[in-house]
Amino acid sequence: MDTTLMQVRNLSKAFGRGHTEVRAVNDVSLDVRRGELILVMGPSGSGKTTLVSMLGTLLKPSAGRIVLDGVDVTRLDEAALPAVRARKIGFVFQAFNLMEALTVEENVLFPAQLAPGGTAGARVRAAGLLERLGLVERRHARPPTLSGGEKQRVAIARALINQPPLILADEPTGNLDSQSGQEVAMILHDVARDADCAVILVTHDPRVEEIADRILWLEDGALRDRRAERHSWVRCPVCGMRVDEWTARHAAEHEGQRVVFCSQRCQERFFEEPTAYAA
Amino acid sequence: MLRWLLKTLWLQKASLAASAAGVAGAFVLVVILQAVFAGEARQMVAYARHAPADVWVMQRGVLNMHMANSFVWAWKARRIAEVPGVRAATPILYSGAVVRMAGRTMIAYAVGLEPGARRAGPWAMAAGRAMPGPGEIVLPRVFAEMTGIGMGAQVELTDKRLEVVGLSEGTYSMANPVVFVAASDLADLMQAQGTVSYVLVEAEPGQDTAALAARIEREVDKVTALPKERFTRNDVQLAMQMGAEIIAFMTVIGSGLAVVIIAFTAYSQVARRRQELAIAKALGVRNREIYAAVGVQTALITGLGLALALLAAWVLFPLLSTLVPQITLELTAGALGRAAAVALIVAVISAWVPARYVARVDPLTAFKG
Repeated sequence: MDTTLMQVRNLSKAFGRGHTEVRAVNDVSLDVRRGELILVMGPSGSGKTTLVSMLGTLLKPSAGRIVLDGVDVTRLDEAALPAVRARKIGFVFQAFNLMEALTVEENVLFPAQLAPGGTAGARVRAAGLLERLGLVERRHARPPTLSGGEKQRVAIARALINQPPLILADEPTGNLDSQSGQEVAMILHDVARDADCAVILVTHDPRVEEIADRILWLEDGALRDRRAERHSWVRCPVCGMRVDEWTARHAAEHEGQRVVFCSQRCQERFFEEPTAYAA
Repeated sequence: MLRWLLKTLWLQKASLAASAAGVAGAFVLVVILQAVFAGEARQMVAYARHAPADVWVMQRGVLNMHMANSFVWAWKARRIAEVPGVRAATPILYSGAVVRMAGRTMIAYAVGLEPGARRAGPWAMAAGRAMPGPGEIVLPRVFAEMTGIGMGAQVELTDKRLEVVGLSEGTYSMANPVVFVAASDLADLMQAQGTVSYVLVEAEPGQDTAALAARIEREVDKVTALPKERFTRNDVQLAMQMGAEIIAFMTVIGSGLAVVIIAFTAYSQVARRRQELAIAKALGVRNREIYAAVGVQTALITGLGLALALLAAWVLFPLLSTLVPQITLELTAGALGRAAAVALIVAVISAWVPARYVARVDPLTAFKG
């Protein structure tokens, strides 16, 4: 049985024109299967958010196509896309993005009014999700009174309320402490496994790697499947950012040793004053 | 969507209250202006409404009192009294005149009363006598208070000095205050001896006034006879026509102010919720659903503003009447209907500004947190 939910072919996004053109995503192809949790990682500015925005039909690609659940969404009219997002895609954002005036339960039910069937059946599903995510006691609370972990659990419940086949999560653990981050990562893992949902998770958080079925590395707009590759984490000596020394694009010899940098800028700063960083 | 909108508005109660108050201020202006004109129009026909006439008879072709001149030979008044169905015919002289007192000048309508024509005189008195004799005048009480004069004071009616012998109630309006003098004094001023201006006809009980008016026109040469309702309606219409442009102009100003306030409020409400709008769009809410929500929001603010304006008007009207007695205010169903119609138009125009903003909100903003 074909379990492919999403096919991405030769997807590109360029901003600007002529000399100022920047290709944020360059010729990316990808198959996403149901029940799979995919991690998209990469340095800042590598095009992760641009990629996930296109997968979420929020940004029109410059080239390529995205087939979601049998529908080529890149060919759809702009007016048809909100319905696709409401029914086929659940979003989880780094900043939680809950509606401040609504209670937990109302936030969870918010997308239900956008899908066929309305809120009647959704109320039962919302009760189940609140129960499953440990939010029953907080269902009448408003977002400002919730902890970061609780907010993100509400956001996940909201993403799941219409039972979409695809969840797109952009840095869902980015604003959480380590325990809450771990909890949210496990919930997303369970969602992929139990709800037969594909979860695409954009993150910098290495703790999430363990739960991923696949890790894709995006750099300079190009995507690589990284699980098959050797990797070894080291710290950039200038800014301290984690860098995979096998895939790093910026490396140099210093006093007989190979030093890996996260960026060209850090490499330049290192050689301006090596003694400040070499230790 | 509606729940989200209403709860968001409720969350910003102070802002909502300030907006509604601003809108109410603009609408109060509109409602008060309408009420001033309605009150003035009504007050302009105060004499015609209170005078003891079922039918008004005047020079042929004249149809009203305000800004009109009418001359009818005095003998025709006697002829009118003999028409079958006429119980009494009271002639009055009537003319626009300048009244000077205590250094102030008032343009007034002077009614000249024949001796014994008490019923054609003022219908309510604050002080003194209702019937002026030669060399005497009855003034509106409001005007006497404005100028600080009282009983026994000397005033000039054009070039004739008269003594104030009475202060009447309900006879002042900004457009045409009514003073009462002896018919002989007014005839002297107008050099209109042997003529009257109007004949106030009281019908026999059970008489159809339209039929009686038609009969008078048939039997008395060169006069126009109109039933009281038609005669007063003509004056009201004339007053409204004269004031219509001013009303329209001030309504446009008030409404424009309301549009600016509501549009700014609705715009700032949606601008403040830019991130939430982006989230809503990202989650699949369509523009048209947000437009509808914005429309409801502006309608709500407008409705709230209008309700507050009516409440404020209800409180302010008696206060204004006390503080500024020369203004007569009247809140009619028509004025309320016009205010509501203006409010509806204002709401529609105001919703356009934030709707444009909503259309430009990029759902991608949701990712930027």
